Amino acid sequence: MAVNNGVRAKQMLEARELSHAKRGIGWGLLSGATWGLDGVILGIGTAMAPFTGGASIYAAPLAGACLHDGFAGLWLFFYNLFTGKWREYIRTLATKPGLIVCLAALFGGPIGMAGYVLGINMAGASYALPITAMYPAIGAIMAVFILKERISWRTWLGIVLCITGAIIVGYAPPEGSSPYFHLGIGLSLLACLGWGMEGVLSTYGMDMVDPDIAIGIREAASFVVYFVAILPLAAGLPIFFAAFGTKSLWIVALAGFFGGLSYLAWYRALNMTGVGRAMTFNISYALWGVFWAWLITKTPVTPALLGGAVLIFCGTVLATTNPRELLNLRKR
Amino acid sequence: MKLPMRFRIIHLVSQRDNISDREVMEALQDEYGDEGQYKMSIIETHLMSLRAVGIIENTGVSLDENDNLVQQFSITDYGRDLLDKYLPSQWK
Repeated sequence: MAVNNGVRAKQMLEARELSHAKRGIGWGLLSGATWGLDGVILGIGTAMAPFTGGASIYAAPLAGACLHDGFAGLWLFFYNLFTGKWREYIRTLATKPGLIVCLAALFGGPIGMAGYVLGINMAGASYALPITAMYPAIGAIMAVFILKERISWRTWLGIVLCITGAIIVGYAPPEGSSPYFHLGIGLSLLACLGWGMEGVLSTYGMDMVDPDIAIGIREAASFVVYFVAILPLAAGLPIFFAAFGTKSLWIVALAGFFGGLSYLAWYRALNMTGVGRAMTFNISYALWGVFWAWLITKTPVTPALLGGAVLIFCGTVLATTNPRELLNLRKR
Repeated sequence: MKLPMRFRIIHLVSQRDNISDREVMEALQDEYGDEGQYKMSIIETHLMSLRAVGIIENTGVSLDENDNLVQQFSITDYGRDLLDKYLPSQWK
């Protein structure tokens, strides 16, 4: 009887752990789908007044990014209030891992998100999204230098595929596109650097922090840096304030909702199913972005766009996950 | 100041080898019992995630008299390293 109980207990445990990892994959996919949607909605919102004006070409997209992270942080705070975790913000900020989350926010927000928003604004969502999807590959390269991680040939192959995909996506802008198209592609690459660094820092200190709180702090810290440092420098504050009372504010708020949901799902997936797998499902947003842009803004899906997005997706899967492990979850 | 609950769970596991999920729940009652996050489902999720990232490890599993799964956990070397680095000094 005792032996049977032991065997059954082990089976139940295995089933529970498997379901935990599978839920993690679900969160990873949700993070990809909502991030793609976020990019398309943010693109619509920041194509309207007051985001169409501004003292410089940077001012409006940065004001949009600031509002986006501000709203994402606000929605996440409401969520944490609802789940009874709001006291954890201050407690977490009093610990070193909490401060590492803030540092990761600097790279992920003002560098990653600013590059991403400027990229969408100048090069269009369907180009910026697949390029920024290279960030896990960039993260892997940085991990070699910073975390002294070893990188296999499979990973390098994945990195090469990603970069090839990005070149295919970036090649030959469609007619009538923004005059800053190439700058937009460059800024999308900068976003990759910021997010890659964010990933490295996260790996370094974030295992100990509740993912729901980590992401709440990350969005709030990012908003604060935009508001006190970036926007005043880029002359973005007038646009920030002008947005209040316009329809575009609500569209950015909606994008912030999906952005917050996406990040929440992403941080949870990291914890539940492992970094490699979570990153792989997260970057499915390159494909989701093409899908949502086609569905909502009727952006045509060109063969080059689809081919490049698929290459980036395959490359990142190669770079961040052992495909055999991905198919066989039981042998983790 | 109180530790964040997840951080406190790591600390608890580091102090008691083979602590069960229920003992963790009971031990947290005085500190976090009046908060909305004090729920078995949330504490279970923390424990499973901490195990998945290698901070704690599963050291035993059994069934109680009502056929519910009871898990036991201990800290890993990686978890102890993290605590050495990041546990605030007043908790050491």
